[in-house]
Amino acid sequence: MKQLGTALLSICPVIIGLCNSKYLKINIQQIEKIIYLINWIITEIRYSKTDIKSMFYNISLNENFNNLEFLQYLKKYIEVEPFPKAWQLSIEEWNCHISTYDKELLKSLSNIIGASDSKGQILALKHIVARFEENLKLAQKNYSSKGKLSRSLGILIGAATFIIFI
Amino acid sequence: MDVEFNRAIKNLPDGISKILKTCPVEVQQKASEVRLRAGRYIIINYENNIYTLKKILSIEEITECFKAICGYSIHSHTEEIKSGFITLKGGHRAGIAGTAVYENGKITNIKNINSINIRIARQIEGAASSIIKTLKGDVGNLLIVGPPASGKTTILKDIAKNLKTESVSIIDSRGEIAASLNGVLQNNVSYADVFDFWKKSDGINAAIRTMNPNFIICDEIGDEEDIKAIKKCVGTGIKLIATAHGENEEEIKKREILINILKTNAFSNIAILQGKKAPCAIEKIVKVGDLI
Repeated sequence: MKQLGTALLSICPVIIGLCNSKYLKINIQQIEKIIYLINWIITEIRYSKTDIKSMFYNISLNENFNNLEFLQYLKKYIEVEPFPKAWQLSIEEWNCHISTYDKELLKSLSNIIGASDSKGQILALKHIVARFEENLKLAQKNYSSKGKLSRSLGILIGAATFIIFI
Repeated sequence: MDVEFNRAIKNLPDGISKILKTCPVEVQQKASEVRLRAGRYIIINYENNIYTLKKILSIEEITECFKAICGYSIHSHTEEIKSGFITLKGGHRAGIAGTAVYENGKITNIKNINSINIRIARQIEGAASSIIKTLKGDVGNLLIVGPPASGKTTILKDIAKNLKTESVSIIDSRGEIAASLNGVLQNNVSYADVFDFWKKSDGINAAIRTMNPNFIICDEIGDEEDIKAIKKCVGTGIKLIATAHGENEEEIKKREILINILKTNAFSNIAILQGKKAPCAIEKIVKVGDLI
């Protein structure tokens, strides 16, 4: 019984460390997907001039954006709300792993997408992409330092707990 | 509640459309225009009367209305905005007024939108029946002349719907006849091929080359380029049905551009409409030979 308890207690810090590291990884993946999404939107605006509703309907069906769950909420909200509100509501509802700053940055797209002519939108969207790219670099740096640290620390504390209590 | 009125105002933000819905059903049923202006009351025009809604719109509300009628996709409507109007779902049309932005002498945008006029399109069943009856069904080579809001386009739509042939090309340069929205035709124009938002001259040329039409329908001809394109139809066996601005017979005779159009021999009859007070009503039908 004691051994089992010790094993469980030791596993906890390991799991926490691994989860923390995983979240940092997901954060990177989600920022990468957001950048990909904005570039996709830029292409749609530049070449097909598709209206926002059809554009996001098609994007929500695209498997490439599966880990951006807010697009599914957007599909629902856009039917009943004006686009800016629908976009903000879907981001708020999204249970994501990106930072609050990134979330706010993503929310700010509600005032850009569809709000001006193609040139104006593309310019503003490229600016947002540049800011996300900076944040991506930071997130990657964070992952390579803190991710490894979390994993190692988790395993170390787990091992130490096991040795102490066994 | 009137279906067309509701369909037209559905394109506006919720708050504004709720206010518009408070007007009496009779006004809704007869409404022809909804006028939204910054700093002014909302006005509904119906049967030469005005109904005022006690709501003053702010410039922010007008901007929001503009975004809403664009479906929050301004980039998809840039060409229409340059022309000063946006085609709405249901074939209705929103005229916009604001500050023009010019680049190299050409209008590139309209900014600071301060006024929106929603024209409620009603496809009136039988609007063209008196013309069709008078001309004993032969509506080819017909020019419909009338002042603004006299029902020219409504008659044209009804003719397009009633043409018993599958070879009709519509050059819908302002998106009013077929009212295509993202490729879906909002008005019933039978089996016509629709050249949506084409310049009339380009559209006529393309239709002749590619669609082998028996009839070509186009709205509001009135410049030299149109005349050049019309001339291409003459002698090909294609029958042209078009509209043009004009007040009455006397004015037609005085307007050089109209005389030049008639001199192309593309038209054999002219239907002159009564005017705004009696939309779609015919004043008279005259032979082109009697005017030139």
